[in-house]
Amino acid sequence: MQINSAAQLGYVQLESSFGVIPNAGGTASVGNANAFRGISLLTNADQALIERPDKNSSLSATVGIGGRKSGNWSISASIAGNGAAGTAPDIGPFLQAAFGKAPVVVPATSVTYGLEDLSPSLAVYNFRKPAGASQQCAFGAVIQRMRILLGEDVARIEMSGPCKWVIDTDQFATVGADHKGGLTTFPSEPASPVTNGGIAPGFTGTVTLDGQSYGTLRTATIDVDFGRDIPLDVYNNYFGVEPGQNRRVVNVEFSIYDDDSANLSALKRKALAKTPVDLVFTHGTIAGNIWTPTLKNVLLAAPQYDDSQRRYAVNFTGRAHATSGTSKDELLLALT
Amino acid sequence: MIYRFIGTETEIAGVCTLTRFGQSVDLDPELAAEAVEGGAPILPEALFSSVGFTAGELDRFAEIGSHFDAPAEFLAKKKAALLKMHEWRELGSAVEGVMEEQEG
Repeated sequence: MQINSAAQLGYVQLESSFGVIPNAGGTASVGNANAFRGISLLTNADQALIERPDKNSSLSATVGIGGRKSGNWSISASIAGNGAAGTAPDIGPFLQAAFGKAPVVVPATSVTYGLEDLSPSLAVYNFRKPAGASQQCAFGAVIQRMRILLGEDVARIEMSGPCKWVIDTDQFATVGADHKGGLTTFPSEPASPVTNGGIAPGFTGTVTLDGQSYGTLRTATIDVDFGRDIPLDVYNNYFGVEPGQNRRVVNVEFSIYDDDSANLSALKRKALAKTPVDLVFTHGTIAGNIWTPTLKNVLLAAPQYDDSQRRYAVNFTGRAHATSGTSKDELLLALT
Repeated sequence: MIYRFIGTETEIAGVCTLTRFGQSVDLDPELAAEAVEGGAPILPEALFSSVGFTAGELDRFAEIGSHFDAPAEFLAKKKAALLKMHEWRELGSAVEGVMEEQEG
């Protein structure tokens, strides 16, 4: 039977220990409460091929052997809050793993994700239909990259990274325990998955650049490289071990219509003078579905002009920075 | 048991789709607990009623888009309902914790 790519839900859980899928006595604890919707969800195992490098009597290659094992995963999802202010969205575990710590919740008001120098890991289930299709779980999944894209009809968030391994129902019965993330059986998809929240038009919200409100933003992209990776070089171990993290890189690019206002002129001057500015992009207008990423101390590159449309546009790129060596405040995401 | 919806859009696959503020839904409490764990913004009927929404308000503001320019009085009630939901969730966790302690 064919497998339709649009009939698919994902399920995500935070792991307590790297590479251990949440379970009780080997039985997975994934349930209806862990579901999320996405535009795309991919989970792929990978194994290096080791070819013998020695010379031989001809130029024909001989069969190699299997090398180290790893995996990768990615999601793209519409930006959708829970719908009720003060409740985390369905993709909350991804955001928590991305930012590195649990959000601050103010009941009935907000859920705010701030940065921490930690690398929580996830178990990401990829259940497809029919049930006989290969069902997968990427475990030991860490978030290496996150992008927030605003301005088109549908605002999106994309996340991706490496994982320890992707176990699936094709291999489960034949591989060793080290491939199974602590499970003794692969779970079926929960029967009544719960998903929450609707989308808001991707071009609605407010924009504040260096303290000034703008109504001429076209698009904005926040691109975060969390610098996380799973070391894959431990002796006598095919798999990766607990992740390491490098310095974060929080980049932003945005396109705005050019004008002769004093505010925009000042922003251009600050870009040219490398004067830090704070940028706030609010997406959505209805409480319960408003996302506000705030970037601090952004050093903008020289503005780049664009005459490809009827109106002149000016494009900015920049990188956000923490206020101090300990503040970790270059990016904050508030859901209200 | 009857619950009322106070979010924008929630689906419990194969069971119900909730899209209207104040929408009523009859759920098995066990499934409701799981839905709440999954973030479903629902409130038991009695708690919802205690907020004091009028029939007119629920009719006028059933569509979430209408909340953008809703009067302060309605938004205050909505916030009260959200706070009740939060307290109810916390209470549920506390009760569960006590039961676990007793079983242990």
